[in-house]
Amino acid sequence: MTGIDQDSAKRFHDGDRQALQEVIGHYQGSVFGIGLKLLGSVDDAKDYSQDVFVHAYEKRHRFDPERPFEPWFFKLALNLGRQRLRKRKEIPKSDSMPVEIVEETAEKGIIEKERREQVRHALQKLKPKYRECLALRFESDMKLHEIAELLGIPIETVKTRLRRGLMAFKEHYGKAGGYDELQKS
Amino acid sequence: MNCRKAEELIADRALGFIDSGQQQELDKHFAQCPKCRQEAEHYSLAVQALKESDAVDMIDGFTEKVLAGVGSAKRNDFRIIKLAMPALAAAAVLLMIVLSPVFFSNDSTDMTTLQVLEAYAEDFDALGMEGGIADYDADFSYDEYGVSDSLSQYLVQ
Repeated sequence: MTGIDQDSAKRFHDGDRQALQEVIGHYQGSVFGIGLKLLGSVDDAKDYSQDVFVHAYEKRHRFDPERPFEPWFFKLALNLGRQRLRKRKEIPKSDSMPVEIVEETAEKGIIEKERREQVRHALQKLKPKYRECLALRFESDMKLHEIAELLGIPIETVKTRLRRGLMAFKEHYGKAGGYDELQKS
Repeated sequence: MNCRKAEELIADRALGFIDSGQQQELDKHFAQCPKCRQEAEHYSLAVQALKESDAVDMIDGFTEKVLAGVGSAKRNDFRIIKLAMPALAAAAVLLMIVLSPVFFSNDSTDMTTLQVLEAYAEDFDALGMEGGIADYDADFSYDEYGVSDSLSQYLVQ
């Protein structure tokens, strides 16, 4: 996991808006990806991403600038994701995934979009604890020990969750026809 | 190695967990199991799909939205409410004190004589004075609680 430098992190802690922009520029892809993997819809992921950065900025005094930025930041992001998942349980949604309406004219773009939908759909079938680990591994490119530290669980448990999560994802993704689409493109 | 164990190793390999020894074991199994070879292909594709990040261009203008969201009116309002919490709590306590006579009125005129007697009798039992009149202090009188001596005999039966 390669993140922002310690100087930017310190400036972020001190409330420097330029540093906030650096943080956004550096992590928006990861946070958006985590949001999409956890929550499953583009709209939710956008809203979640915005919430994460606003929240991080407003809670920046809780970050110790002498320590690495990423563990604190991704823990905050994960907690916000969990909050949203908990709220979602109170208002159950239908099993079907929301269809994002995006103007796509090129056939490749449509196929690509369908494939992304299949990935999201398959991920939503997984238990949240598996989704979390996969999201952290593939979106924030975290190492096993970093995920373990962030989640407060042993490394072996992280490995098990990643393995089981991937096995389940592979099944659901296959049922959704994911391999056919990938092989075509 | 059976296919079940092989699948675990295949998943681990796709996640980048296995060492060279495990890879050799897997290769031996692949040599005799086309089904697991296909599974390995599927796992690679699944990981590839997970790795492919969704385009960040889906969130155009994102930085501006976050900057606008930081310190927005809505959040400032929330902060003001948070700052006012001690004052609100103090007001609530004051209100409770003012209204307490309404909720904790001890006006026994609303009770019938029988209800008063029953209540005292229950108190008596609760104090464990099963011995009745012999147990209680001679100086004590129900009279001061609004129960005449003629009625108090019922309490110590």
